[in-house]
Amino acid sequence: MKINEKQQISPLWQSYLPIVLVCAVAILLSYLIGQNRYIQRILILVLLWAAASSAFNIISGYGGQTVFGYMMFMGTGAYTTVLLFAFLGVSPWLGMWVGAILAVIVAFVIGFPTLRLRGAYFAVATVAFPLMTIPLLNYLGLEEVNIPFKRGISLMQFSDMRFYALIAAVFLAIILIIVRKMEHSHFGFSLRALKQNETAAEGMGINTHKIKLIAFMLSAALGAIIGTVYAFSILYVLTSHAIFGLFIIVRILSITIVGGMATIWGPFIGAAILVPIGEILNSQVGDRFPGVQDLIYGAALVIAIIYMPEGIWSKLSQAFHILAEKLIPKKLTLTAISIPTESPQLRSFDSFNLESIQFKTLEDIPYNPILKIKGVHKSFGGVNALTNVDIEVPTGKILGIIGPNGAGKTTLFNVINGYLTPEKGSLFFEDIDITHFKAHALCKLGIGRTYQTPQIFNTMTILENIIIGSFVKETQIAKAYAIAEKVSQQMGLSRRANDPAVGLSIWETKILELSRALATQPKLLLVDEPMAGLNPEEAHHIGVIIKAIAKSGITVIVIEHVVQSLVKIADRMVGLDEGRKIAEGTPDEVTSNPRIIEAYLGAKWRERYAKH
Amino acid sequence: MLNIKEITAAYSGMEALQRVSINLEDGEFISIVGPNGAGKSTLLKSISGTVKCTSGEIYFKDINITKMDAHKRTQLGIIHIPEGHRVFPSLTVSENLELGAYRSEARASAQENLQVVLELFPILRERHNQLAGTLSGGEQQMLVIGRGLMAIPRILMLDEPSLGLSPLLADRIFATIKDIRQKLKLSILLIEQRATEALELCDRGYVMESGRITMEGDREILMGNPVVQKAYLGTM
Amino acid sequence: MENLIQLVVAGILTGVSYGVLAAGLALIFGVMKIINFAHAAFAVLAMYLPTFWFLQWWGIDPFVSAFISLPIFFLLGYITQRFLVEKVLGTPEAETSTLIITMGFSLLIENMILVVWSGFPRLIIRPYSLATWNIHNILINQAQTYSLLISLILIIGLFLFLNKTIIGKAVQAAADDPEGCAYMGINLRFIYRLAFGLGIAITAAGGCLMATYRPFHPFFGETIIVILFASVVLGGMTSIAGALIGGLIIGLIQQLCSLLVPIALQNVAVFAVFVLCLYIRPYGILGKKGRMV
Repeated sequence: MKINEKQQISPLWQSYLPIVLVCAVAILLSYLIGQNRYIQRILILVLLWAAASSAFNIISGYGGQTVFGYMMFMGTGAYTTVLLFAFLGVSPWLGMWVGAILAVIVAFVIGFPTLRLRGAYFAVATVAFPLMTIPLLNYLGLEEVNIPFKRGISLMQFSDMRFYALIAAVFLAIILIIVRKMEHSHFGFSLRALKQNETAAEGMGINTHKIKLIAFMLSAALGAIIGTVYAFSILYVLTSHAIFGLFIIVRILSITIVGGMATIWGPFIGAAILVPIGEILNSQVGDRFPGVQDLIYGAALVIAIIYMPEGIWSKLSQAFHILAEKLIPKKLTLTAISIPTESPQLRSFDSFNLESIQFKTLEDIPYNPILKIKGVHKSFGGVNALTNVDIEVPTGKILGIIGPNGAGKTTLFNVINGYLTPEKGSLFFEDIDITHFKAHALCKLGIGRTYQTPQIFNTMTILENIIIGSFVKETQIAKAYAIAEKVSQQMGLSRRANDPAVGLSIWETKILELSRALATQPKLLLVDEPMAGLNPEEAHHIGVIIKAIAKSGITVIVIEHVVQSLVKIADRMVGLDEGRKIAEGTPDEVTSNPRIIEAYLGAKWRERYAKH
Repeated sequence: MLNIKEITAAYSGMEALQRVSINLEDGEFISIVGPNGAGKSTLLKSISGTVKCTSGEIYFKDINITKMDAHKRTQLGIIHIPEGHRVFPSLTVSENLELGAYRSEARASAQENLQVVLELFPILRERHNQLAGTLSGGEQQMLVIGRGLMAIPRILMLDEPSLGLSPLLADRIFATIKDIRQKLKLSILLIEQRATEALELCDRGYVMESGRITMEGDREILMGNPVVQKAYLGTM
Repeated sequence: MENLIQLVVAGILTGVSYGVLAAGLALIFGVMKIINFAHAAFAVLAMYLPTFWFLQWWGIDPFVSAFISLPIFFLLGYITQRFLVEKVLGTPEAETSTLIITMGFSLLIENMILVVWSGFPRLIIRPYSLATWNIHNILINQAQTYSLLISLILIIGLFLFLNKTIIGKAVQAAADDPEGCAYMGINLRFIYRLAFGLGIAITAAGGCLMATYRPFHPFFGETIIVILFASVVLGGMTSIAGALIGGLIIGLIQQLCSLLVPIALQNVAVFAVFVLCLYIRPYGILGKKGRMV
């Protein structure tokens, strides 16, 4: 991947071109169709459903949070605008914004508590809201609201349907442009990461709750606007069931899934295929078979989920991208074409020196000890995972943590880096009380982490994984990119930078996780069982790398079972057993501690390994 | 009785087994030792069918079971006790044991076998009405072994039975395994990180590293081998 | 005071029928960890197919239909699991995919009902449908009472199956630890199909019973699905006993809130309780991983 000197990361105006073109064609088509209301209606519906599904796609496709209650927002927009118009004569052009703002508020109120819930609960919660708004509206006498027809541009009412098509096309273009812009932004990257692996994203400084909420509110606002246009261009009477009912979300889901979730053109393709089929069938046999349209959408949904869950667009986009690469030079490709190259050479780590990005000298770090853990207690459902743990972590040194399985080592890491909050005790990082800080905040403060089971973002390339890391401290894409490049070069990954991060060997995965963590410019790095699954030569090199990391000024805490390797690199060690600290000191002191021998090492260990 | 020929298998997207071959004779006790991530668990899973091999073949008593579903292999008597003493937490101890005899052949003699198991693990008799989720780690490990025995295994495969247990409990488990070996007529395949105990119990052993068999041999030979001693007999 | 007792009685009667429907949902979720969005649609199908149709064509009493529907819908559920749900169960996005697929399927069912039987609301009129007993001035609807008794029989049957037969215990085991089952020779695919079939069967029976005292239309499912979700969540999503209790509570809330809120808004009140429960105590009343039965 090449970057030109100007470091243009925002998509060039050329990538917006297809959007403008498609919508221009739609407008032209509408003009040519003329006064044939039947066909115009189908065109308008295609555009509107494409627009609504594209807005839905932001939170549900890109964000990975399928909002089954999405019709809440379209309904809010439609009802607000129609009521304002019918009863107060407010122009829908104005009412549309009121509807959008209301939808954003509703999204915030619903989203704030609900987005914390796990998948199943979240889905069930969101669908309840619109389904219950129906009886509420019915009770208020608003089951049916007539939309008075007064004709006039300022009232968004035309007898010539081509104007509706124009409006629909313009709004579709706007939404698609927003989506495109989002794809290439820092926000879009964070959204993608959190969709892929929320835990890892949190650990990479992404405030997942906030990002989800923003995407949710954005989808809501856009959905409300489309709801408004839908009401005025298609409906004569607004009924509660028509805009808050289940079939709306089924249609949106069918369209988005058939076309392709989390792709920019997926919803449009889905709409272009399904809407005409549905409408034509409805007009042909709809009298004898009412509900045939929803039957089709329901069937399409079922079939698509089973046979084509990635959608049509993904299959087409491979071919498209190869073509597009030649026409539109992209700065940050989101789908890479892999060129297999060798993995980071082990030999290159023999004399490895990590050039620090963030520290000039050790004097930059005033605090020592960098981390103070005081009297920490953590239990799960009555089981004590950590009891009264007191540790001081010396700055710039490597601290090793050993202990049997279940001793609480990873729990300790989870407490330090903010995934868990202790019930008692406190933690101080550079003299700041971080006891109640969450993971993303701690990452921003300077605590980096790798995981026992590697948490790679599989749908991204190697470089993109590292960039997620550099985004923690650098919000400008160009600078983030530069840092990621630098780290990947040092760690030997730059030749494979554009390969997808899947199917990597254990060694490569560990290097990638370390690189990503280093890109976050941490002051303290938590490394969880780096040598697990590595052969002796690879394990040795990981040790070399960790030593180099510490030398560059980063304090490292390492959990490891391969104790004989750990003692060679650690400056100090701590032994845990059943949630308590039972030993602390130099590696020699800890490994000869009788409690450690009894609980973990066994008597023969020192015979084997102490004679180095 | 069990012939594994050059099987390759992948686990979690990574090649865990690379052309592994192992033989187990009727009544033999085989131990497999090696470091973390060597593929030992994956080997057992390939035998029991929870992981499918991408190449190679597995024969049990001359029946090719390479493509057979996992639950059918259990019907043949291949019983795999996975690591982590996973009981069914919301069922009682006796219900857990009862389910061990789910296999149709085993149901007929379930009552008899239950007595044998309770003799081997008296603590389970004490706790027979307790919810399995409330037992301690060691008791749960005994329960899963007992549960496995209820299925009348021809081959009993144990994956790290001592994992997470204190040395004392681990010793007790190993003693029980020895007991089982002596009392019941079955073949045993044992995976253990505690190489010393595992090799002491076995007839023959294999060493696995990075998905490959690097050494095999009779017990005395393996235990006397200096490479094995250095690498494995010194660790926990 | 009398009014209060009347409402409580009505609440219990309604609540039990919700509980039976919710029990099926909880069974399916407990075993397979999937949300069957089409659950209420199956119940409504049962209101049309065995209940209404059998009555119309062969004069079979709905209470008899409730039992006949058990094997029919067990088969339907088995087939649905086999050909529909199974296709998406193994995938990484299983939770969302099954929700989507069952949502699409529910629309299919509802619109098929619409095509065959039209959208007019239906009502079953039998001698007991509107008859009531009068005990100390409390009116108790006969149809609902018979439904309660049959519901109890169904529930007891389910409990006996799950607790006393080895296959039932295998179902509980599958709910606890599906991977562990594979090691014990339990054919997980078969157990899942069984569980789904069982869940649908009991729901269908519940639907037949409900039809004896309530009008219904093809989209009735959309009204009650949220009530069912609420019952299941209140009771702790994997617990069948919890779902029954949850249904009971919802029924009571629905009736009792008519003291405070106009009847048309009953369901909105239920919904409010449901949402609050989700936020404050998502594990429901019976707590987390309780025993399923």
